[in-house]
Amino acid sequence: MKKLSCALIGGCMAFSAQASQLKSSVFGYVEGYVEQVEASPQWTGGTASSQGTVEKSDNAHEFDTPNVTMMVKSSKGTKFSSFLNLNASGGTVETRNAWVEIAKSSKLKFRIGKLYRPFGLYNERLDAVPTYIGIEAPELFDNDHLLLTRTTNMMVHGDIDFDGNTLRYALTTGNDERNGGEVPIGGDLRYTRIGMDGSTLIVGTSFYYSGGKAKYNEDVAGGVAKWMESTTYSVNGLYAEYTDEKWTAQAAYYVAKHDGTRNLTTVNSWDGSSQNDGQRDRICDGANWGSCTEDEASYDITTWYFRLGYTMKTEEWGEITPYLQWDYYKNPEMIADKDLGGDNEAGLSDDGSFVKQTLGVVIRPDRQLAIKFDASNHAQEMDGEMENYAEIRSSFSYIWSL
Amino acid sequence: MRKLLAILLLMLGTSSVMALEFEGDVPKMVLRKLLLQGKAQYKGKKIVISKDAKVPDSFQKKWDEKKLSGETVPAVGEPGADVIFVKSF
Repeated sequence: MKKLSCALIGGCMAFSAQASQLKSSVFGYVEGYVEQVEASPQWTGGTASSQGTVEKSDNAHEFDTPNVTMMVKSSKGTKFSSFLNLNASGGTVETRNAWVEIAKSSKLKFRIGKLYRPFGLYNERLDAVPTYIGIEAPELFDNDHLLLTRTTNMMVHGDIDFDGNTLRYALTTGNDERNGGEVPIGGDLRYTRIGMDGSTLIVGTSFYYSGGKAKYNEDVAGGVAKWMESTTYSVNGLYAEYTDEKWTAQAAYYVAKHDGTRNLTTVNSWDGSSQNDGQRDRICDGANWGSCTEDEASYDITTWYFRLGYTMKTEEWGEITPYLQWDYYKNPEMIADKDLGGDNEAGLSDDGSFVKQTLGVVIRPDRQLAIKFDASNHAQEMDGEMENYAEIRSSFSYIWSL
Repeated sequence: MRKLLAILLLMLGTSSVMALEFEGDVPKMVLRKLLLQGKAQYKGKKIVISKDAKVPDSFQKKWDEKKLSGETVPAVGEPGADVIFVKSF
């Protein structure tokens, strides 16, 4: 226990004098993005006592620059380092990451600041857009319905070497969405095995526990619904990835278990115009909107995905990697209206579930440039009928460095 | 037939490993595995790359991913006492 507390505060680490030179590098990437969503289904005309009808409404194409990043990595020898990751995509500069790390050895490192938690294959990787297959994040990292906060504040982590193969562990805690003095705990354990042919196999597991009551925080997107007074929740999952010169295969499965209390004032302010009967049964216990009395909310969110890519090397276009993805997400507590804290996917469906199938291609004429095109089909059951709509998108990202 | 295939694969893997030239106290196979993961140190020693070395794409893509995720990846440097110095891939 003493050793653990020493590690957490970083105060028991003994360091030899560092004669190494401070080295800093400045880099980042810019991403231009365009998407067009086919006319998508919406609920309209619902009342407090009955759901409305499903109608499709047109969507305009959208241009965006979701990533205009500047990153600064600084290190002194192998013991001290820091990382700053700024994003200026939204007109203001957002600090995505800013952390300091002290390493006793590669087996024991202490990081503090604002950091992406190691959680599955993608949470740390999502700012490496030019390097992965796909444009959109797996659904568990979609900001509209995250399972937990992407960032946290403190981490103890390390790598244990097995003849070049690596077992990596990470334990995290932070402010997250805590209600008061709760101590949320996250963790990730993964084993990376490198084959004789250079292939890489990663298998891992992640977990998170809110440490007691967690509360919706409008400044930090996370796992607590906007209409919850509070919720105690955990997230557990497994993931795997295989890569070689040609193939990339990824799969993950996560479950979030919630035991919460709804804020009935908020729930009873909904007029039912965009909610369906399934949501009224689950959230309002079948009563009319405006007179809900059921404040207990015990539910599970389930999600999984599978991604597969095949890389071909060409003279003219560099690397060409066609890929396919299949995402599943189910959240029985979700509603449709984004302004109320819902989403436009799980919240539309009768039972809170949807699937998304994606086909796409990444073209890398140069290692610094990634051009991606893909098309997705969203499918969810609405009023007993399977509703589908398509979405096409393209992303151009370029890594720069000084 | 299966044995023959295994031997061929082993030879291919070994020839790729043998192409790695470096200075430092680390088994060649281990160093290759570390480089494929973008690791920047081994047993307290920094892994640095010669400015004349051409990093293969299969390594560089992983290094880019780790670099954009905030991790330390092997950087160009000079040989030294506490350094594993990669001359070529």
